[in-house]
Amino acid sequence: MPQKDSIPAGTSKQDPLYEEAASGFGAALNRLARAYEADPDKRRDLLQEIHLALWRSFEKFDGRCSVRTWVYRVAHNAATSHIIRQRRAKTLAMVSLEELENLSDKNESELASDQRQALDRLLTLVQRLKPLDRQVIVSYLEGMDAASIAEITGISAGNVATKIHRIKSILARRFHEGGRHGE
Amino acid sequence: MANELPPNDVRSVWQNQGVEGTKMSLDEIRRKADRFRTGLRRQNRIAYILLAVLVGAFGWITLGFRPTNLIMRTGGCLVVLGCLYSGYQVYTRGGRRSGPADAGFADCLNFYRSELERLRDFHNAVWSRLLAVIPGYMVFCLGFAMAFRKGALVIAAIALIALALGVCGLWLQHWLGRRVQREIDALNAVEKQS
Repeated sequence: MPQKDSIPAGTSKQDPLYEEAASGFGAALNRLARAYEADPDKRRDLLQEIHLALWRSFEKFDGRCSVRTWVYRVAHNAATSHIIRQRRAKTLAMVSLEELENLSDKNESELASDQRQALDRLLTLVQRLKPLDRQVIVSYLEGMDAASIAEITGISAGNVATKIHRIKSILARRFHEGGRHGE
Repeated sequence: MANELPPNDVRSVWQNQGVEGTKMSLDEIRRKADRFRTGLRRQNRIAYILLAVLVGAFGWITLGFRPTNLIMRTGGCLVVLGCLYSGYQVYTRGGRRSGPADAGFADCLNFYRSELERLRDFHNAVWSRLLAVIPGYMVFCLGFAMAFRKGALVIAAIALIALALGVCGLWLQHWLGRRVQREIDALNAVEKQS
């Protein structure tokens, strides 16, 4: 098979750009990997794939967008490839935000009494979503605004705003009885 | 509401979650890249070896084995042609891409769509590869049964099982391809809304 992209030893700008991005966004990339993969071993592999994709991508980075947008695009895209490969073996269907809004949470009545429980519930919810909705919710949880999310995902800012509204409503409903945070 | 965990607090729960090691060294990255490339080459090599074995076996039966009849030879030639076609498909399309090196240029919607299109094409390619081999194999079995009448029933049974498996495979790939296409259509609808 012809090699479509050869892997160079690392160009002069590629290594420092990767080092900088890995330092600045390392924790965020780790959280992103958690949103896409529940299994710890597969998650470690996914995280490595993301870092590899990121390093390779910086060979072609031309400053057309911010480093943050670039990093998140590469990471989400690498993770999307991962779940497309993985889901052939999965039986649990992914759902959209719209579908999730209409689904009742079996554990909704249970109290998420601490942060750990709240996080577990949040991860379960995020990991059920279809890729595009997952990208929006992860970006939202990372604290981005609608315009930044739109730049990363390619969905219009208006559409992102609608999705965020939906996300807030789902989160409010699911965590309404979710215990007191910080108490 | 006393028990409420508002969206902003959910955000802080998300952002403050503990994460394990977050960085790979450049050496690790390069080693991983090399392993990835080696794995890709190995995958393709296995496909080529399997096809070469099939081509060799059917080529030998068709050209060198005695006694044979014209139907058996025709079937064998069709199987060889089908295998060569499949080999060409593996050569041009490949099993896996070597990673999203251009992933930063594509927004998530476009990238996701292109990945789904690749998956759909993969299912369609399996479909066409099966179709390339099955008819030749059936003709070959017919010729074989005519040449060796004593074992005709066994050969017919083997051919029918192969045909049934092939038809199931075709149906499955067709169904999977259509399912992926529906997701692509849904993404196109999202883009139109945008």
